Amino acid sequence: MKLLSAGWLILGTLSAFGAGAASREMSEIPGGVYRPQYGTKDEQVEVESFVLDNYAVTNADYLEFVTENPRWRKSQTPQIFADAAYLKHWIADLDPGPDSGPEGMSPVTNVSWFAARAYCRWSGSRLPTLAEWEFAARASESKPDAIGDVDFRQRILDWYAKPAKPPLPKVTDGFINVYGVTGLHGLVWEWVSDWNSVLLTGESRVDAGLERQLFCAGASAGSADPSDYAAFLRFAMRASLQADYAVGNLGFRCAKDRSPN
Amino acid sequence: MRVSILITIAWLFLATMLPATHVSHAAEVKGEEHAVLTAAPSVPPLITRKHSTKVIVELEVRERVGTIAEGVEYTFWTFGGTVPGRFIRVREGDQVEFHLKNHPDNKVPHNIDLHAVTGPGGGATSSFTPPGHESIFSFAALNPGLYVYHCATAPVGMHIANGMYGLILVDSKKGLPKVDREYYVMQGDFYTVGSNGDTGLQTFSMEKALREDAEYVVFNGSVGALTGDHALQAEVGETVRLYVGNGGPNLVSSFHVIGEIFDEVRIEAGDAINRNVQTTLVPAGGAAIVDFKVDVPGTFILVDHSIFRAFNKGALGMLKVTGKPNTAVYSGQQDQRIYLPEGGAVQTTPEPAPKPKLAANKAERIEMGRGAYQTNCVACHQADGQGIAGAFPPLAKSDYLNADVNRAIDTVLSGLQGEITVNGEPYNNVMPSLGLSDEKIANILTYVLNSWDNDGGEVSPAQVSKRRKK
Amino acid sequence: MIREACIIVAMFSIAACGGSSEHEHSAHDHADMPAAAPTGHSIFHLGSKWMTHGNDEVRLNALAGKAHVIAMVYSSCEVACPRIIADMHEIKDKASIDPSELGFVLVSIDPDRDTPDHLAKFAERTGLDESAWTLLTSQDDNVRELAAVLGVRYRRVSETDFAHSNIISLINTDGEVVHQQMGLGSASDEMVSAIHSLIHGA
Ligand code: HEC
Ligand SMILES: [Cu+2]
Repeated sequence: MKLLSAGWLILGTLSAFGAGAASREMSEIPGGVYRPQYGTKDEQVEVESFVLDNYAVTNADYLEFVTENPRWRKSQTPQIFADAAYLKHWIADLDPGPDSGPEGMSPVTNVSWFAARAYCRWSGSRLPTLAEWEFAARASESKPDAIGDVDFRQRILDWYAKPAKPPLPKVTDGFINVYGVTGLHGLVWEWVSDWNSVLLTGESRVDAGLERQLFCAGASAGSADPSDYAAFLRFAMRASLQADYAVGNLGFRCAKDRSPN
Repeated sequence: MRVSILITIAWLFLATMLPATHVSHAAEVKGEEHAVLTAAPSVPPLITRKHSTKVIVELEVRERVGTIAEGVEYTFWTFGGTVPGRFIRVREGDQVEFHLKNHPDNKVPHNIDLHAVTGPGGGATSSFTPPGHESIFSFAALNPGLYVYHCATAPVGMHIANGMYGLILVDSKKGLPKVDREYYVMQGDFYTVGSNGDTGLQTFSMEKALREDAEYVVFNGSVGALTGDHALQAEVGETVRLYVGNGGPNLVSSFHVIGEIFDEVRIEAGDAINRNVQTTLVPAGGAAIVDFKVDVPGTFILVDHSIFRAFNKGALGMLKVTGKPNTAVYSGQQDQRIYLPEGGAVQTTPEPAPKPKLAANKAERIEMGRGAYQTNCVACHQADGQGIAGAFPPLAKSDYLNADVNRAIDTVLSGLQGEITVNGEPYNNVMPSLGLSDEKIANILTYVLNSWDNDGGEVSPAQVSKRRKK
Repeated sequence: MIREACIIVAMFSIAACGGSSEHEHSAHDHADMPAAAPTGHSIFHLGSKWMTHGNDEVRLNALAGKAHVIAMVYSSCEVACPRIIADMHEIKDKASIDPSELGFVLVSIDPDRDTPDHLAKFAERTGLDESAWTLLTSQDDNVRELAAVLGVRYRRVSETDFAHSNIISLINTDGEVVHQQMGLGSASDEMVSAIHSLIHGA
């Protein structure tokens, strides 16, 4: 705490720290190891225990954030941090409007990576890493790793295969996974902190091999599970993004390191 | 910044793929026009100009629910709102400025690989676009021919299986011989979780796609897209040209028109011309151009001559030729069924979709119930009826189920909530009402009762109907 | 935490965090520093702190007032990075602009190993001329953010190696990306003419 600069303190007071965070429920995700979708054959990713929001950040949550941080209102945000679609479903800077769902309980979308990151910081947390997100998303309502279950996959796929129009469902809709987290599948895509660690050219047939022209050696040596179509969809989505892009079906939730005690 | 980068990419793309020719092309290109795009079976008008120009193509990707067969819906991913995607027509030597727009309501990113493009990825790398964005890239139409375009975003198979393909025609400088009618026909195979004929919104089945086990094989995106009122038309004495494509994703088409012989086939849509062809192969991701003169009136049936696809999965279309009979060419009774050794039911009634069939006996009921269970129950009760501990009760060897069949019917009819005990375990959760027909409920429950060590028996639609009225 | 604070405060006013970087002004005293807030597309909105290979602490607005050619690499890279740097040398030679008007920046994506010291040795070993080249390193999160802005994707694939996209960006005096060259060994003519039109006018 000693290290906090004056700027941070000012902000701290401004934000009353956690008006957003107070109502927030988080669940602990016990750490573990899994094999990433894109990587070498025997690559394992280790995920340390962490804490993840039970729900995606809602329009109502986000309204609080922009109320306290004028720089993130849609008329104020520098273009480098968010493209023209930023909060485009909102009627005005501080009016989320009908497309934000009943009481603003739909997940906030049309937010850039910068915006999502700023929100998480404001609420005393951070965006989950790609590995953390993927790890938590392997869980069904009954087991921590259901990715091998054909039915589980099919359910995920069914959502990906249907177009969604605003307003989106409430963040509390959907199944609760074994950790207590809802909506990782079946609601919206979600930003992760290192989404730009996905090195796909968009030309998936090239990506399946090694493309030295574009990437350093060892970039994308095949994929762990070619039949996990849902994972391909997620990675393709991430690969298509830029940090300033705001997209209608793309929201986020925040995470924290597990507190040391 | 974004715009300048896009343009840079487009430039790079051009620069790397057309090191020498690009410059000479650029010199000849005069003026600018917007491409006319058409939905199948229409083909854009003939290009009459004699010079190269800059052609702007604007294609919007829409993910939308459409009909794949009567009563069966499917979420198509489309280039321009339809399957197949819009037909694009340019002329050899044209400079094409391509705008790929991904509609904001769409869920996933898309791109486009045009087989008419000479360059890495056929444009895919330069057009990878998330929802709510647009990519621009340019290419020179170097080689004349008819080319497939498709989405190449991972998982490619799924994007294509959902309908992301179409045709682009690059007319040669001297053009193809003139014909009276031009049509656009494109085959595709579809993989639905439910079986062929299962009604309601169907989703993509990756299992079946991997096994190449298509539920539907269709021309122009749906069963019946080219039959009945939608049949292709021509008059006796006219020349007809079909631009035939095959989007796949898996199946190769044995394209045939029953009762016609193709006078000329541009094999694989290349320069080689084959004459007097009965059936021509159209590879997945390939095309063919077939020309023929229609000499006699009648209905001519377009099929994939891998014939179960035609008569059981939908790969069937019609060309209706009107005009005076020409007995010198064909002197039999004027009855198209004579060409149809398979038996006329499907062909003579221009019925767009097979009606959902009814089970004739218990064995069929169980079989049809199996499919419907997969579509409607498996998400919760699991493939082997084992359920999920603590959340969804088992249907396998379920004392609750076997004790009272009427109660089970009520459960499926109206849903169930509140605490129940199944095989000694308490469950307190909600099963929604699924809105299924009497027939379907009867089939599913008969299947369930005769599976996984349950007590057997049969539920009839009449029994369900009685419970429904209560 | 300090860094986070700076980023957020930077949104309110660049001065709040920018004040501590006096030496940048002297380093580029010929340049007209942007008086007001950065333009909408300026990378100077990022308030992150960086260390140069000369062991100076800077913010990205230290790049203000002069155009820069910038790429993201790591010093132990054996395949792609030497080629990116070779491409940058080619751009530098072809453009032939005085270092007072055009700088070259390498940003490390491997801050764990690329300490300022390490980068200084790297610069010496590979003959990067002090007057033109600046090498930068920072914390992971800052690197990730700058990469996001420049459209660079990267991922650690082993103890020693990264997969990364090969992009060389041209940044104008206001910190806006005005041109990018993608892929290794790409023709540099476009980049060179972009530099010329930036510095000499179109
Ligand atoms: C959305 C999840 C879901 C779907 C889909 C679903 N069920 Fe259920 N089902 C449940 C739940 C939950 C219960 C227990 C309800 C309770 O505890 O109150 C249940 C109970 C039952 C029961 C009585 C308990 C038992 O184990 O015997 C039967 C029979 C049953 N379902 C049959 C079906 C059939 C047949 C289908 C498909 C047509 C189906 N269910 C689809 C969730 C579902
Ligand atoms: Cu697609």
